[in-house]
Amino acid sequence: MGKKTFLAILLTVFAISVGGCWDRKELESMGLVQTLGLDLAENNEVMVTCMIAIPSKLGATAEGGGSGEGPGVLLISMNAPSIYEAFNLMNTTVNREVTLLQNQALIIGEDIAKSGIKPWIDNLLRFRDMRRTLLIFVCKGKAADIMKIQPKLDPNPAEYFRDLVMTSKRTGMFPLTNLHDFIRRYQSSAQENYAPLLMEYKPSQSSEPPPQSSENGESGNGEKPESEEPTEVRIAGTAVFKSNRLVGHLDLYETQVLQIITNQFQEAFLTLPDPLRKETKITFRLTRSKPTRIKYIKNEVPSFTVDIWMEASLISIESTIDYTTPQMEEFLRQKIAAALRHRIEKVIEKTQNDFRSDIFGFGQKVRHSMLTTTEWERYRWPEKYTKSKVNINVHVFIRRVGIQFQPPKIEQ
Amino acid sequence: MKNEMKIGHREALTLLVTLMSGQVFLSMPRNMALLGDTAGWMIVLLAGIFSLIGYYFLATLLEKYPDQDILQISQFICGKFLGTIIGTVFFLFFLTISSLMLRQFAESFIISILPNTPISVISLFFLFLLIYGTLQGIETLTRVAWFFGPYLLLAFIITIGFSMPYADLELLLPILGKGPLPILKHSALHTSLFSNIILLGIIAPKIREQTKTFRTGLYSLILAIVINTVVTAAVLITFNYTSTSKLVFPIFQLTRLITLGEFIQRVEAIFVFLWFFTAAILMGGMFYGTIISFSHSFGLSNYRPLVFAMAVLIFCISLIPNSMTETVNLDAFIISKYYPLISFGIPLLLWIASRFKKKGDNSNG
Repeated sequence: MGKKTFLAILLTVFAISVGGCWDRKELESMGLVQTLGLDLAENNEVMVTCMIAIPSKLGATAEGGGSGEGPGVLLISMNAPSIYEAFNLMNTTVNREVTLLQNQALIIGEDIAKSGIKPWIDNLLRFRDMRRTLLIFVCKGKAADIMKIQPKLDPNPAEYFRDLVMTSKRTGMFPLTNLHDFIRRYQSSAQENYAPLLMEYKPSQSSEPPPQSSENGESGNGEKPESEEPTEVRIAGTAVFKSNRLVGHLDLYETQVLQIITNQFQEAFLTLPDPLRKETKITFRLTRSKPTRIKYIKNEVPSFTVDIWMEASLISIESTIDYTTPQMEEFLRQKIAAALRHRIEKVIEKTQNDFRSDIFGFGQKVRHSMLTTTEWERYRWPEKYTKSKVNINVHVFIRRVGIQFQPPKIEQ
Repeated sequence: MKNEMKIGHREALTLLVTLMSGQVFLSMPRNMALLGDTAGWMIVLLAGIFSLIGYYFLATLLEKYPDQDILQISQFICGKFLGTIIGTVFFLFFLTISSLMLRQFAESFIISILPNTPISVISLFFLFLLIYGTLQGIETLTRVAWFFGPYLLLAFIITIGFSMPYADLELLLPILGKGPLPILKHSALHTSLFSNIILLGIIAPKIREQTKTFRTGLYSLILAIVINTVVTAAVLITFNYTSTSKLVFPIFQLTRLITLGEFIQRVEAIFVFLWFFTAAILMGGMFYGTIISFSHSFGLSNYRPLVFAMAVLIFCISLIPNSMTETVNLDAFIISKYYPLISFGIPLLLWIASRFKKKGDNSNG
């Protein structure tokens, strides 16, 4: 066969085949799900709620156009035997192919989390449209209800969730969990699972965990909420799992402890009673100075020593006592260390006694001390966690006192 | 003349490295995690060291009979009849690997980027490429490998590097995984990971500087061992061993994790090119091996008429397994048991025979 004939055949084949691309998808024909919500429905079915982007509306607000146009997303819920079948059902009313290609967040309803996520976890892994970078949330009540809330600051609720959870870098008040982390913990007996907990929040009423700091500064400026709907969404801490079931939650301050021990903590403000004048308060900015170190001591009762290094910068001293001398700083740093230590011990006790769930990953240290995986699997760590001993050493250093030495005083 | 093309040792080296490393894109890291848990990477490393021992016999044989390939050597040592049988075994070996690889790469494209495209279409396009490459000859194949090889490696290192924010070195502990004995056992059984080095036995006489043949094979094997081990370890420290042992294509999942801020996301689209080029070079080498082992075993002077027929054969065989799971099982755990017997066992036997042959020759002469 001559070269020319070969080339001609090849080109013809290419030309014919190019016309019929099986995997062609037009952008306009896709309904891009931004957030996916899962709730338990009757008859062992799942209620899938999809937040589908309306590109034209999202674009208009982004350019600074009309914010009164309503939400930039379409919400739709369907009951189905599986998540993906719900998409088929949604396509009986949505004229675009519902796809998870751009999905950013997954909200697991409380009922599903409590009854066990085991039946649904494979759904999240096997299908190729699901990405492991997907953010995971657990919510109080129904995911469908939480998703109805339209945030004021952002036309796109999915982005709102993502940005909200990112603020944890500055507060340490909730864990950033994506599907990859979630699955990694799910499949490991060395650490139990957790995810940030979303809940409805009415700015007028104070909600259950007493918020001391004002991390929820975006109180709405009077946009009409739909009838009796709550007006805001907030992250209220951490949902704690034992094996595949939700067993309880940590509040915002307890979550800081989780973040400190799992090395995710970066910085936060901390207010404590003034050690010399208990009725007044003293505020610090706490930053991590060294990664937390957990040491495992092989005993009959597994024991751990946790060393935590923190830097505290003074932010405010209500009592106007001068703590800015080296001696007072030494005194103060011991007090902060003791307060932190107490707080951490309480949270660890809570996970041991109430949840019986090692969310801190102490088990990993036990696993590392072993030589083979067979030995580890025989050890049955989850049963031993509740009885293990944890010693906490907190090392606090006061390096800076802000931009002022002595507190201001009224001259007499 | 095209039949007397010579190739450079660097080109041969990149082809061999690609041949032995392309498997990292498939289920190889997962299979290793399944066999050794946290010590999966150790199995790869030890298997590599065992392969080096096996390679020694192949290399000495090739050095002893320069300008002859392994098929001609076996005919020379064992006589025409036995030699042809050995050649047929080699042919079947290459045929099986080519077919299974074609199926796995085609499946991997379906799973990752083209879910609705029929597998036959993907396989056929692959085969067009292979046919074209093989008709052009080994020089073209190796030059393509040399041209793309370094870039592919660089892109690959970047990909692995970008996914490292998710990594945790402690996930390699417990250090001994399933225990020392299972590791030794599996690494001895899985020298098949590097059995593709046998292609050196086919392309050796074409290498321009014959003195460098031994080093070419050695360096390619060492480089392949490093790549395979590092990739397996990288996957293990990113996903833990329990997750890794359940992933179909771990490296593909690894690239899907990459996010750097909001700028660099969804880089698997770029990665697929890397994947495709590697697959094409790998398949090209194995396809060439299939055809040459057939033509040299049966004394054909020109291999080109065989190309189309072999492509059809490989296409058909690649579609025999019912599912992807079956293909992966066949390739990783069932047929692959016999690969080391062929690529390291036969050279060893030939090496032993060649020592006797020499004595016999001397006594005759």
